[in-house]
Amino acid sequence: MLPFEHVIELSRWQFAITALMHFLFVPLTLGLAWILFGMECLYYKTGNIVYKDMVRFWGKLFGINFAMGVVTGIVMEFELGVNWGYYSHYVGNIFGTSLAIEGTLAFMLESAVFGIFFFGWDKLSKGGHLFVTFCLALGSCLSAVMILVSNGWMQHPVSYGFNVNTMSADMKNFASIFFNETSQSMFAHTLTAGLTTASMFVAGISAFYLLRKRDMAFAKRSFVFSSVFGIISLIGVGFYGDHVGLDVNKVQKMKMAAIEAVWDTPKPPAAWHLIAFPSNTTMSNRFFVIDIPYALSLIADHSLSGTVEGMHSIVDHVTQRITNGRLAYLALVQLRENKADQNKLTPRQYHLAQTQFNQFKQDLGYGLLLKAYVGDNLQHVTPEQISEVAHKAIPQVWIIFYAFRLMVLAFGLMLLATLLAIFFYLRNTLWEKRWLLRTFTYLIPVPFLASSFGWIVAEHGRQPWVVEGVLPTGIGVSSLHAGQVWFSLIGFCLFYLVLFSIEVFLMFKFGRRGPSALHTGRYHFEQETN
Amino acid sequence: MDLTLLQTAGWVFIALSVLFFALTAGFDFGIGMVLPFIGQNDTERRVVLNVSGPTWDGNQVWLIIAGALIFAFWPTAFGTAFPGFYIALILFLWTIFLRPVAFEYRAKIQHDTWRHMWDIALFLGSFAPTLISGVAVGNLLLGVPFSLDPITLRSSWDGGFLDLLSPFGLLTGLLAVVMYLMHSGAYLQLRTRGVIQQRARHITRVCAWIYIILFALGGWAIRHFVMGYHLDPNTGNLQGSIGGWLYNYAAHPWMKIAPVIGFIGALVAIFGTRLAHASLALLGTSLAVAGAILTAALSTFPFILVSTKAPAQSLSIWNTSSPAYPLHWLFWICLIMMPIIVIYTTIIYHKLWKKGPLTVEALHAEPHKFY
Repeated sequence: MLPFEHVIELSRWQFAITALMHFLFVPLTLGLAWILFGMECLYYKTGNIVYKDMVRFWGKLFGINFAMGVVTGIVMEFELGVNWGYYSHYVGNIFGTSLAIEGTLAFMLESAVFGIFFFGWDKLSKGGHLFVTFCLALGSCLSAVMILVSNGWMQHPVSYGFNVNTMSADMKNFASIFFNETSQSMFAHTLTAGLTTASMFVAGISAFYLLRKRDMAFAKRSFVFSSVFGIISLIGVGFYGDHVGLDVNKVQKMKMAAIEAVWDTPKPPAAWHLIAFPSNTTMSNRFFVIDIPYALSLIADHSLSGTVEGMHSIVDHVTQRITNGRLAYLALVQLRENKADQNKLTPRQYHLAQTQFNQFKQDLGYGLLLKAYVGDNLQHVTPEQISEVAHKAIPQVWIIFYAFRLMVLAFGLMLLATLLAIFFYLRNTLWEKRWLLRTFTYLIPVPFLASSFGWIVAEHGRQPWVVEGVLPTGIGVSSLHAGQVWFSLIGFCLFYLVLFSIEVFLMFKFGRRGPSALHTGRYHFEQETN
Repeated sequence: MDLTLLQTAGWVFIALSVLFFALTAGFDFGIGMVLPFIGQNDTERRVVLNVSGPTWDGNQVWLIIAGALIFAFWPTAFGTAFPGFYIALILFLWTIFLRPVAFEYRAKIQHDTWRHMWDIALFLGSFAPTLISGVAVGNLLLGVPFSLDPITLRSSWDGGFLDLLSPFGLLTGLLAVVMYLMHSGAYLQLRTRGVIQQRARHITRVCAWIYIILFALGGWAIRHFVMGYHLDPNTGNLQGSIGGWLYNYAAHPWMKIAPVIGFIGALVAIFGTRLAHASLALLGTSLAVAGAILTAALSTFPFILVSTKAPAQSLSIWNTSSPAYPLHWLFWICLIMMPIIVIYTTIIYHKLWKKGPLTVEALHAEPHKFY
């Protein structure tokens, strides 16, 4: 029995909402931890109390954010089990292992020192506390490494073998899973995105104090520190983003074609669509396109001879693989039936089934894809049905196309603003440029949106697969009733809405109040009351 | 390394992470439950809250670790049990995620309604997950109605959320609640002074007695009403009978130490409380917690999930564990990381509490330093 279409859709929505929600908080944790560490290094070196106040104040906002990160993070792990039970069964020995390493190596470290970071100022030496902050940043960073190792494997599964006896994809070599190029470039891109997010966050809020002419010494230091941090991170996020692009073009051709809305393989040097209106139904770009010549070739492999395979041609490959995958699946069913009842097959039939399976097993995932849409009975499938399923292997192109461009636009805006800030700072006129400071306050939400768009590209671009080429999303889902998933989906939306509102309210409250919230007696609002 | 050894080691590591969770986060959950009742005013409640304050987060990560280890060691059990307990687990998640925000946000605004709201959130976030996890353990002992498709190994379940709330399930649920309350009482005795310490003593004493009664009641039910299973050592076939969960204790008498520790621990806790010896009381409650968890674990070994619908398909560590290669990795990771975690956690506790317990006066002196 296969789960109803409805359950698949609802489970996807729920996972998308909870994951995007989680990733509103993660990048800030990831980046701010290193910014806190940097600030505390300055405090350690100079002994200037304003740096300590910076660590404590930005740390306060870090704490508000961290709590929501923990809340939404617990959900992610358990959701894999409750909503994606068959996926968990199928790849648990790989995905679970990297999650287990994440928990024991990284998340525990980060969480264990979280408390002493806040409450340990008078209980630890200066160096001791600096070390704690370092562990906080290291923990969150290692955590990202392992999560991206897990996710990268779903984007580009390497080093596994299918096991007929346990119906699972079994790990072959952990080192090659860990050093999967896809994972590594995604990690670098994610970490630098986190650093960018935190830099923009600190710079934006500091700009607010500067505009209000409050706590100037504190705000100027914070602003300059985060701008320098920001420019380095932005260069990094662009550099590694480019790497992710190269990798996607190599190992996830369908995603690449969808990102660029390429239907027919263009001859190099190929132009890059700045604006297009891709349609999945007509399998073409409608109305008109605005192109930037040569750019696609440069993006695809850094040369004028590079190109991106079009979706028409990819669908042809998929059709072939589904045809083979069906044979693999049919042989697999025979082998499994024989396992349940040893007399089902004659030795000759068994041998034939095994040969057929081994011949086509690299396309088994495509057989499962056919099953996800056609149903259990794959004995009688027409070529039309196969072709129809092959077309369903194209994700919703316009979502990915625009999500990607919005992410790049966000990057461009942040880069421009930060470059200008550094430029004016070096000319010593930054603090007069109120328009630029105001721009920074408006840019605070932009990096968060950029991360969301990035994940939409990465995850929606992989559909209809949960593990690219290995396990279709529709097969990975748990056998649940639609009512159960409706219940949890609505509940999650309501809960997250309430908690998110409270979080944003507190962020605004403390953001507006500024370092006076530390009650040190040194800052703006405390001066007034004295 | 021998596959049987690796599979058994996986069971041990998962049992250990559950145990560490219960021993450390156990008192945090208990503190969340007593919070609205033990403090008469905001300052007293803040003292109680700040006993957990600096360490609740790390303690709670043992839950994440236990989940991840089950995922990695027993993928099929993870993918079968979790969808089966769907509504229960969703409620577990919705309530447990009140905790991090309650700890972090409660003190951020000085307003009675705001703080009351978070007290209730913290109570719910501590009580409901504890109850649900206890009920879940009860249902693991009773067996659950699932079956696996023989071709795809996809699991499907009969029965829903309300079926979990059987008398035995509720008994184990209540036992979990009382156990954590007792444990938090002992921890508060150690970390506070004065009137809160007095009330904490009362909690430990009362809950330890209830714990003894419920634990004994549970054992009696297991002996006389609950269907238990074991694998026949000669044929490897599954054998079920009323009282069958006691098979392991007959086959390996040393295992009887687990329930014995449970009872002795509770008595030590009562004794320590009477002597006003907080660390002795905490040792007692820790033993009691460990005893109860090990009893449940050892009774069901080697089973993870017993099927009442298709007993032959029951999941045990022998037929559900990951293949040998990832088990090797997991074995070394756990063997290296678990002691490291225990060491740095101990150092952190030591650093945080070396200046002695938390008092109302200390909180008054620096009100902005605490949760």
